[in-house]
Amino acid sequence: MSQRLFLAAIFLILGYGFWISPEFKYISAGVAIFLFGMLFLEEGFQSFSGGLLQRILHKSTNNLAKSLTFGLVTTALVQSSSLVSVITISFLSSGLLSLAAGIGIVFGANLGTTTGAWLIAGLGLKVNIAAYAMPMLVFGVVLAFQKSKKLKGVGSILAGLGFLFLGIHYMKEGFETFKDTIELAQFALPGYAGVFVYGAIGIVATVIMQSSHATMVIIITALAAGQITYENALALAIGANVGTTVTAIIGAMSANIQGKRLAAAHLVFNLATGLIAILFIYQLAWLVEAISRSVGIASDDYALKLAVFHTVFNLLGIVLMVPFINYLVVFLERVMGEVKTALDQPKYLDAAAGKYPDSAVNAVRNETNRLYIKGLKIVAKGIGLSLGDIHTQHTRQTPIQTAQFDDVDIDQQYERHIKPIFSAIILFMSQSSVSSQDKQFGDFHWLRVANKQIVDAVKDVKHMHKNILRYANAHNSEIRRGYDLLRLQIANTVAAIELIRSTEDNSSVIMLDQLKLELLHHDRNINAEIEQMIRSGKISANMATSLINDSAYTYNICDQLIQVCETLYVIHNPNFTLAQRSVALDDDEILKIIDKPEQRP
Amino acid sequence: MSMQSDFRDSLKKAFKGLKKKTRKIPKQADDLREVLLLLKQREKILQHKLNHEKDSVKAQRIRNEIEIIHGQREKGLRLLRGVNEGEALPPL
Repeated sequence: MSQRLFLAAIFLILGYGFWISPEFKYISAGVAIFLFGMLFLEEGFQSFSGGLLQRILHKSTNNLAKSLTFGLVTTALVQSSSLVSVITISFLSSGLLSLAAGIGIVFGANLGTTTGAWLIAGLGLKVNIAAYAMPMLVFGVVLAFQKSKKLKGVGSILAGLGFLFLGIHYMKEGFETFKDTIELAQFALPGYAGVFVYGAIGIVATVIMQSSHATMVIIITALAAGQITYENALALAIGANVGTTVTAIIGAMSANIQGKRLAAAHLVFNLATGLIAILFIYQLAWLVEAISRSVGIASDDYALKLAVFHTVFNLLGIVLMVPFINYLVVFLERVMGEVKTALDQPKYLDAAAGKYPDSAVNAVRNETNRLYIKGLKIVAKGIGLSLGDIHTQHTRQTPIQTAQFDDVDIDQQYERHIKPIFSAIILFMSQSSVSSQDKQFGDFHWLRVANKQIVDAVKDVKHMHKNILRYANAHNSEIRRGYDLLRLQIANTVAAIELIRSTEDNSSVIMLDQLKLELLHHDRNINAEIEQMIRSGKISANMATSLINDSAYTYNICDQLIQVCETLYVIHNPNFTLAQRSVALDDDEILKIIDKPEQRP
Repeated sequence: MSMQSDFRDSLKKAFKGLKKKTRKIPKQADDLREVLLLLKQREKILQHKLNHEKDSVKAQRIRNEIEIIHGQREKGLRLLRGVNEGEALPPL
């Protein structure tokens, strides 16, 4: 409701403005064309972000200096801190980035966005950029109609730049002619009253336009036309810097807790920087004068001096805030804790992570990993053990203890720990940006299969859990031994998987194949033992059918768990080279080894 | 039309082949050689271990691992031959 009222109020103000002043139409159309150009530009860069930007982001953010540089350079190149912030939030949400690296990128992006002011003040006002806008628009639109994704992207970038230039031209024209009818400079406010009032106007203008870039263009063109005073322009620039955090906050609304923490860090940084700039505005203005004189900027070139000011106070903010990044991370993690619910919730899946193929695959991989660990815990509980027990008993080679058996409601465990996450993963995959044409589509396929295998393993353990309970304390020692063999088989598989999970080097490819080989070996041995028990009449027909069925369940559980392990940690593990993964044996090759005469038990 | 598409396809193939030969294949061959070397080293260590192992269960596990390494080395050598002849590693 409030949003509709807000929209109606904006329409009324714009309508009134158009009615009383034709020049206002020019300025507003200039802003609208500029924003339209930014949309095109973002779309163009997004079509390239399916690989290159993500790869660079992934590799160049392992320390703070790199994160800052990445934020600075990419924002300067794409001329949109919003795009960089949104990509950062999506990567942070999917677990590809740490919060500290994300904060570093956002801080760098804040400095990168000041290059826009330099471009407008240095180029936009001095060169007739509308002359360049027209061919750019024509070439851009022709390219945007092409089928190739890359050509379309280039077209969108060209058209976006064309619209940006055209928008600046219209704003410039509007303010030039506006000057003849209304002298806005007469509303100038001196002293701190002006700083606060114009700072607030800067915030409101940026919140409405969702772009500090657009606000800066208006400020610079108005300043160049003499419609606002230099002092008030400085306050407007500070306000624009604070107002821009709203874009990140809106972007983080659909993100997970990490994304929200990043948006909060962005707000803290811009508020702190803004506050410092307001408190020391006169000292900063003096510093800007000194820098401008030393680099040869004319004393009446207020537009360029504003660009210097914009850069200086953002740089000052970074210098002051960088030493506190780690404290900020600790503070945000403490204040913005995760909300615990009765049903397990996904940790890495959110709309922000689904926007880009790489981050979407990584989010699904991390979530599947979580689901797998939960699945392993339930499987362990299903055979009367915990993951800790399995690890200890496996390393000490102690036999499985049957006495300490608790009844576990596997159905309830499934509904609480597996189903909500599994459903969220499937929903996320269907709604994410990964299409069948993307190279990440293959990973999605394997991860979908892995999720199904985890669910199947948990459901299988549910089926055999009843019999394990029934025969755990049976008088017939043979059936007890039979079920202990099945439990041992699962326990050994889980223990080996835990070892592979923690290894992640060349030997995991060997360990995985060895595990497959041993599963086949044990399955044959167990089946031979069961047959022996039945033949010798040591177990009843009823017991025999249960044991045969549960032996099949045991094989399926182990096989599914091994296949998930293969997908997550070995064959589809991006940390291994193709050569390392290629030597892994397939089922037929393992069968050949097991059927060699000397391997027969 | 078909001549044009044939020409385009043959150009594409030529470029693909060139790309494979110039970039991908030497890197894959190097990676495979490294993997094979590591497998050979591991096999030597395991053979030594097996000679001194008294526990039959543990000895069987070592034998299994040696068999797996044998299999992986054979597969790796087969793939390396293919890579040396200009074939890229098949996708997984």
